[in-house]
Amino acid sequence: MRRVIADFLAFGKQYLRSKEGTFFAFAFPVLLILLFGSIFSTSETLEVTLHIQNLDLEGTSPTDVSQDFIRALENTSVVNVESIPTDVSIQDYIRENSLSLALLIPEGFEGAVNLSKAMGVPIANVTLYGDPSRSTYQVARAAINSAAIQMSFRIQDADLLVRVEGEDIASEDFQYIDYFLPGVLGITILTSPLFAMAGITVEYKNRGFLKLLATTPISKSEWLLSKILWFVFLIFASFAFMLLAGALAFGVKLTITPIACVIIIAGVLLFTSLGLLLGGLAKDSATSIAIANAIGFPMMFLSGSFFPLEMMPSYLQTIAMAMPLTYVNNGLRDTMVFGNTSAALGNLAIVLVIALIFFVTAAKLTSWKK
Amino acid sequence: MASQRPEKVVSVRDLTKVFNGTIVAVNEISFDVYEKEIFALLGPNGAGKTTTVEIIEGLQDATDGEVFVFGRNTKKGLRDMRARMGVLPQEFEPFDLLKPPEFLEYFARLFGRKMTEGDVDDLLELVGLTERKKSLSVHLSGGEKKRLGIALSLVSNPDLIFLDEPTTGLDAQARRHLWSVISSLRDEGKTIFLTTHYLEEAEVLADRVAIMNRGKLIAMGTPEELIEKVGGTSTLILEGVDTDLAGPIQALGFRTRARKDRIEIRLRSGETVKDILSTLTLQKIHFKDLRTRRPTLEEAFLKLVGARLEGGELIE
Repeated sequence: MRRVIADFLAFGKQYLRSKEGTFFAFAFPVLLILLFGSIFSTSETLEVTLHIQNLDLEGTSPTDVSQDFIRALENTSVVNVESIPTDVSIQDYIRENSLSLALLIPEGFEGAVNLSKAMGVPIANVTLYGDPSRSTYQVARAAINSAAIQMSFRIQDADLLVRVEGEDIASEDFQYIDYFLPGVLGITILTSPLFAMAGITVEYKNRGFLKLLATTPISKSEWLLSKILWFVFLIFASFAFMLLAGALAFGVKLTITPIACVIIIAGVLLFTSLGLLLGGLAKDSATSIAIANAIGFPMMFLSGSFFPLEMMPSYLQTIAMAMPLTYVNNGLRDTMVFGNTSAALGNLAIVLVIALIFFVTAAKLTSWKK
Repeated sequence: MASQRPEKVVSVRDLTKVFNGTIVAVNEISFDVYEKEIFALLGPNGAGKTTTVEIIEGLQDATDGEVFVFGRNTKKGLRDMRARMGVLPQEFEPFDLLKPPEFLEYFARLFGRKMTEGDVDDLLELVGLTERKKSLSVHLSGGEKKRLGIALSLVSNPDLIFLDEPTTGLDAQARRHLWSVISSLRDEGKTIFLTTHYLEEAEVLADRVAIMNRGKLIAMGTPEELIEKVGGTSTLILEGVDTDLAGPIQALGFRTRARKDRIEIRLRSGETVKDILSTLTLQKIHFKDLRTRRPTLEEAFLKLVGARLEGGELIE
């Protein structure tokens, strides 16, 4: 164990002296938390600017019904209404002003509403111009529907009978940052050991450091153990920084559980071993870094680190299931956010099995002899 | 007088190393290294020296043959022998982001030894790196890195030290400084296994030299034995002498050669300078000055290998 400690201390000293290592372990995750936390943790209500061309006029003034409809839209507090002049083509106006959303209230709208009321079927239409793939389009469409329903109930003198109440599914009043922080932790568990070990192993091999170590009593497994211990220490220190930044800036509330700690250790074992494996197989540093990037970056984005897997197309969700980081992220959120111990243990078991396979393979394939 | 020789520290028996099934790097070589001697394995680049030494160090596996270090067959592993062996690999590089004292302390701990600040300072002073103790290793020159490597090979206070091309890349002054360091280690009772392509280095330092070429050992012995083996003997040079006397001197039974204002007398085996001078004095042959020229290992190498050795390369 003395050799492991000696190697741990010497390696740690070199790691902390390298600017890249310190940046990716401490500054990068904190920057991510501050950046994404600022974007998504705002308490301000989301508001969409909607440009409206109202062609339903009596003389030069808008009809009462069309004005009621616009007021209903404004009452949703989601839509900020701007007017489009009535004497221009709405398509030309959208193009010339680079609008992403515009609503057309057609001529005869009031008459169509009254006819709808008389016949008992919806005849009146408004037209929403926009890109359905953008989230603002969906927000505007929902607001327009809501306004149409409110106006319809008022005209028919009816009341809303069902109200929707929002309730957070987490055990306490968690915010986006509380979901996001375990993802950033997962990224750090991936990047620090994987990229460092892939680079270090090929450098140690090509610059004769492995041969030099082989002339001492330290064994290959002791050397690898010291690396794993270092990255475990580093990731916990990095996690402490993340929590501190998250707590100070956004009031992050996360439960640090024993299972979360074991998942962190298993994740470090997994990605340290994978880095060793890649570095051992690569001929030079450039190849090693290229392979680590090719594996690490897709995994970073497709494993639910930044956004929930459910937001991805089904084929990407299938790919995500093949990525070890998915189970690290899921396990961390299961235990730290949702308090779902059994699900966390299931993810931990998967991470441990993959980690052991990588560890044994890497230890066998990495030779200190020529 | 083999019976009086100290203990064998390294024994190599019929060692063979073949790469990729076809490239014979080492071809059935055998030799012993005895305690408290400097043993030099001399040869051009590509002769198989580093392969041989790395097999002895346990860093490569032999294709055939056996190697014993401190009586232990290297096939059984050398881990518990490591503290008795110091190694400077041929292409040694220190870790960039450690300072020389940190690097030495780290390796000492790997050997289970705790070095005091004084121990570290002594070691750095020995190799002339005291002034550079606060620099990161990445900022050391090539020669300074090599000297740090020699210090590193000493951190466990080993009995057997392998130095693979220790002075390659050093300037003449640094090389001579390191020679004195290596000599002092032998004087302390260490066994030095030196691998070199510098003939002068082997001749100055080594108690015994083994010449290796194309994977084979072609000669082994003390530098004097090797020189004698190829017929090299000392030459007595008479300066400021009448060169017409070369004939009469030859008539006295000496091997002579006249050169401008000097006569060279080549000593036969068993002849001494004193004997020759006595004879010349009796014959009243006068000269202004005299000197002796000792044959060098370089000449012996030329005769043994059939080529000169310059900068690690053979010049036909």
